Amino acid sequence: MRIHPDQAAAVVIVAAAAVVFAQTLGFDAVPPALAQGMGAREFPQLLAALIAGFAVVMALQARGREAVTLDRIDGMVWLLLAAIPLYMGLLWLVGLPVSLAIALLALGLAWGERRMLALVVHAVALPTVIWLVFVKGLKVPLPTGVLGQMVGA
Amino acid sequence: MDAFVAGLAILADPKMLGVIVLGTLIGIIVGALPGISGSTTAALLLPFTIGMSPTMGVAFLGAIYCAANYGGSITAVLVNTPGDPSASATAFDGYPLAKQGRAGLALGISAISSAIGGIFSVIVLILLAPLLARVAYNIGPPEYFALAIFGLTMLGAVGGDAAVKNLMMGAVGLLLATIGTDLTTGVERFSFGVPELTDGLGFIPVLTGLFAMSELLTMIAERRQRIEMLALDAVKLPTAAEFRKCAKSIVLGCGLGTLIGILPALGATAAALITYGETKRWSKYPEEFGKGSIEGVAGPEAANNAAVGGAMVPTLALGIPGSTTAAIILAGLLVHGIRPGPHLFNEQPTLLYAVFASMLAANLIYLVLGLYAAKVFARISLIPPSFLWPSVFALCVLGAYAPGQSVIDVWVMLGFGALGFAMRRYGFSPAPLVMGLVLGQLVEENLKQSLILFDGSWLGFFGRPITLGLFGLIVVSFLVPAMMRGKPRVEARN
Repeated sequence: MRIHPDQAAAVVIVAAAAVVFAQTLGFDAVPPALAQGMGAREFPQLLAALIAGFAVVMALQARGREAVTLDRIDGMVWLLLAAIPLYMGLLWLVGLPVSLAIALLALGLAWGERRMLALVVHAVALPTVIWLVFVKGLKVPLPTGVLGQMVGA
Repeated sequence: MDAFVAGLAILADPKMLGVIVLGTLIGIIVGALPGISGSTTAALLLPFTIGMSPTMGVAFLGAIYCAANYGGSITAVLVNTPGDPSASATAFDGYPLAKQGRAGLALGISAISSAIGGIFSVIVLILLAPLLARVAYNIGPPEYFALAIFGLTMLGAVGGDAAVKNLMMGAVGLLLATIGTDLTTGVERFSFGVPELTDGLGFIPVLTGLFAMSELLTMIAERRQRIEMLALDAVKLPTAAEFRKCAKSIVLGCGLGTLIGILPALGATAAALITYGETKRWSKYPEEFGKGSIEGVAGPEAANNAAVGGAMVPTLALGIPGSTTAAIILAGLLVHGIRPGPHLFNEQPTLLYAVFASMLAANLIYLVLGLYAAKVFARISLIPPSFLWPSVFALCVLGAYAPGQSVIDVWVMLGFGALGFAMRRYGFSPAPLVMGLVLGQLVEENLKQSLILFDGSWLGFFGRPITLGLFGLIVVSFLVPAMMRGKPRVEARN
């Protein structure tokens, strides 16, 4: 028997709510002078219980319904999700403007763009404008990364 | 009155006027881009308002909000793909009009109806918001708690089959708002020793991730789709006879749009769709609908723009957002250290009237731009996605990083992007989560204060007429739709 997507989601949500509830048990104790009315842990506990309750209702509602098949997730979405830690590593290594230039190029290619000159111009121009506006104009420092620091950027 | 005049005076400031024109231009352009809605744009550009004064920042976001709904009609008419969800009803008759070679007329009617709807609702906002704020000024924590819960549960009540999902996401938003130091006890909650989380989750990374980053992940799956645009003649003003034909639908759109906008949870899209149905019902020419009726364009366009001013009524007067974009504007105010609500009308009336004035100006500016530059905006809407979406990614990263200058915020944004994608896939809307997140602090504070007032007894809520009335409304708003859904089943069984 195939499980309805709502029931699968409900299982994950109930598990997450249980983890949240367990986390609240580890909160620091409230000093007696401040222990008036609702404490720090009761409100999140109430919400975790409420969320779990709603998830159970959702699962029960899905019981009689035909299990719909969700479309397969496009391979490029998986690739992008997998690339997130990679991008963060790049950000740490080469800083924000350079990592953005690389990301712009890679995303353009992922989107099917094959005009390399236009892609390169876009990948260079946008981070340059961002750098000029933020670093030079608004005086907001952008991370230069470990390599940037090594060369004194 | 003095505050209103002072509010209007901000329009004499060239910098302020420049920001409103810029917001309007961005609103029309991104409104016209399929896939990027007004709320996504507001979330994406929220970080850029940090460097502005609160008045300027909210005026900028308000202008985007007003103009995006009109911008959505350009692609609804020319491509049959609404740039903004609120323009989906416009496509029903706008696209058939364009196929008949009357795209210019459709866009002319759309610009005029949108501006009339928008200006009408801002006038209602100017008149109604201070009155509502005055009524709300003396209500206590229990009433405020009930009001916030009413706002959150409305998302469930109007959600139909997704009611439970919407309620659950509202609760998840409230839970996310508890991350960080508890203000009453000083206890750290869910910060896991990360210093950046002790102040709580930043609104900006969460909103950017949920709206823009998750949209990017959705759009890459549709990257092979090609958009074909119909030809656009010059935008035409309707003749007197055509305008007379549309007048009733515009009036209907103004009234229904404003009213629907005021109700928490129902925004411009619902206003436009409901008005389309009502316009058809009251029209002398219902047979023209779906085949290129100008009334079918005028009514929804007046309604979706009227909903903007309507949604701002509870947002500014009570601090309860009337729509998703209004929730983002509310988050923008909170980021600037301003909590909207009845007290704001006494403490900073000039700021509020400046917001009203900027919204009025935005409606007039997009009318002029819509009539004279629609062709340019239509062309801009054809920016290749292979350049558009990577640029959105760059703005997401920059927007998440810049306000707090924290790489953790970039992680948060990317994490919420992935979460938003999963939520959409399983039929969960990000709107209730945002509402919960924005209202979280208000709900918890007022609940705690109420329980202190009631000596820890929850029954105290039922001893106050306003809270009792609001809880009653919540019950009715769930029961009536459930009964309406159940009625045909019972009839079928009999």
